[in-house]
Amino acid sequence: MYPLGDQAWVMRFGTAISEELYDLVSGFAALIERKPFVGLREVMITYTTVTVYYDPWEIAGGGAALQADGSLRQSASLPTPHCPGAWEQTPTAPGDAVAEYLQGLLEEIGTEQVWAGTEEEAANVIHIPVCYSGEYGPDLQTVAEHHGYSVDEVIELHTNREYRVYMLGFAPGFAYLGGMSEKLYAPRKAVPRVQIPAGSVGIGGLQTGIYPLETPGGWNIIGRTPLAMFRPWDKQPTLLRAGDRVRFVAIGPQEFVRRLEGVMQ
Amino acid sequence: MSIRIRRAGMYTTVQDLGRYGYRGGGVPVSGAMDQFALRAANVLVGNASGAAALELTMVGPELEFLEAVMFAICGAEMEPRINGQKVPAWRPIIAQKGQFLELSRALDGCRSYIALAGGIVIPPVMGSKSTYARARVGGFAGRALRSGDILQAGRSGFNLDSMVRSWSSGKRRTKPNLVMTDVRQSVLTEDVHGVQNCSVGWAAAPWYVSPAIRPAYREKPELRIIRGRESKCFKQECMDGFLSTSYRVSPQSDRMGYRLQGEQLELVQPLEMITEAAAPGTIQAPPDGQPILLMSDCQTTGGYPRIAHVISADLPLAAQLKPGSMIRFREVTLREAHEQLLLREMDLRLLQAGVRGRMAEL
Repeated sequence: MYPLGDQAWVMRFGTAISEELYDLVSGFAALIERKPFVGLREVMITYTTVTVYYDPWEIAGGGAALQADGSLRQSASLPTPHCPGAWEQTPTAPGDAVAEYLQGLLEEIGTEQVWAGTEEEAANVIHIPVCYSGEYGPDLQTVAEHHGYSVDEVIELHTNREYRVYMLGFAPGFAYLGGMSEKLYAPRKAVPRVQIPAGSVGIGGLQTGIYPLETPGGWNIIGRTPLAMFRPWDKQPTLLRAGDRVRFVAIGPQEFVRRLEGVMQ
Repeated sequence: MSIRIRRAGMYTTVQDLGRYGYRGGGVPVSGAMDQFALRAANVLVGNASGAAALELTMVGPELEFLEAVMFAICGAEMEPRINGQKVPAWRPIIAQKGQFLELSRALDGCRSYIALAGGIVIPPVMGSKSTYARARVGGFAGRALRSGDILQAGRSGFNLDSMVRSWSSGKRRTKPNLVMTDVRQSVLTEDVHGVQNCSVGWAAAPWYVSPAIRPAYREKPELRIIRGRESKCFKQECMDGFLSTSYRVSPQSDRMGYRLQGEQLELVQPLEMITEAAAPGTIQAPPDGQPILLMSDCQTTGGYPRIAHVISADLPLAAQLKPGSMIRFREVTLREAHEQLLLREMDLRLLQAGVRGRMAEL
């Protein structure tokens, strides 16, 4: 457990990417959200960590110090300039208070119960339509040739399995997917493209993912989805969320045009 | 309709305190780079401290007032003028319909904030009015302001005419400062000499934010840090150098972060990091050994080793850096970081109480 600056704690559960470790990570994150504390801002997960963002002022009880009429009441829990050592006499410093709370959650709930929590959640499988042909997949041929496959075989290998969304990061709505077939490994391009259209599906090394925004990038682009991965107008602003399971479904160009959403340009 | 942008300045955006709750979706917090200056400006005009305001960068804009407006400017000195006459920053000002406010190149620092009484009427996106331009999210149509844009201030409830009369009258208060004078020096400083303004119709309050509570803005600031998780992965002489030498802010710097130039940061041995969280203030060391200080629009996650984190209380100092600025780092404990943050928060609350008291007296 370590501080990420003065407004977050990170709890690291392991050092390798694995489904089992990830179940623990997502289970513990869900637990914190079920049992929040005053001053909790949000919880974010990565492959191996749970990051807990907090508001030190709220935790120090600072909000209570401002009276309804706008005047300030001297609060015993806050440090004052003429007694800078006030922490010794006050409730725990905010950072320590959050750390203690999180340690308590870890101890109070045994690992087994955290696991059980995740199993009860229904697996949410999201089908993502992808047009793999022509202009939408400019590097499809390259990826195929890299392994001596046909284009159809590449599409088959990409669509015949479920992927797990481990986390989102890098850009709004960008999902880190796990579970791609090693047979599709394709090294990043030596010269990255200047503009990759939003919705582009790519392979970079052993990873596959979808670019939610138009950006430069070095991945091999094998197709494009008409769905908006980042949808700020929606109550759920990202199509995918950590923990979701994903399946790619091949569609043709006409269906692509028909299903095109308000994709970010 | 409250103000029209005549000249947009170098990079002017609508910002508030940021977008929380969506980091899990890869959405950065964004928000004002110098949160103290934004909040002080808001408090001066009677807004909630986190209301949406304008963030100005390096070169300020020129605005036309389409109606009488109360506003305040806080942050870097950009020599604001109304119809050619200098106006002071760090205090509320009332301009009349038809007047022009012009700001120039920052003499010191980099960023300044203009808050309008009533805030800025703009639809929030994902709970915030902050602009995240890379994804065209929030603020004014998801982008920086341009010439011709019109902004609307919200209702403030102030009687601007009577305030102009009172501020122009030259009267100075005789009552003592009501707010905690025995604990801390006054957060508002009386302007004994006043501002000559009656002749052109705008008026400035005869008090301003005390320099004593402003962050320690200076040419070569010292940024306090706490150690990052991977700090022990760096060679000891590199850590020592990081904490004792100066770094220069390179031209490759913007709201996402600043590339710094200086003492190389070398790892004891190669480190393959799995992506973990990053936050504004985080200092990363990429393979080339030159640190990157992440700022408001930074990505939510990163794979580079994190050597340190600038404490929140010192982020306003970081926000005032521009290419060529020199900075140093000094280590503090997490407790000290929190103490500074809470003291800063207290100052802003005191400021708010002080301003409310002044406004109520009018």
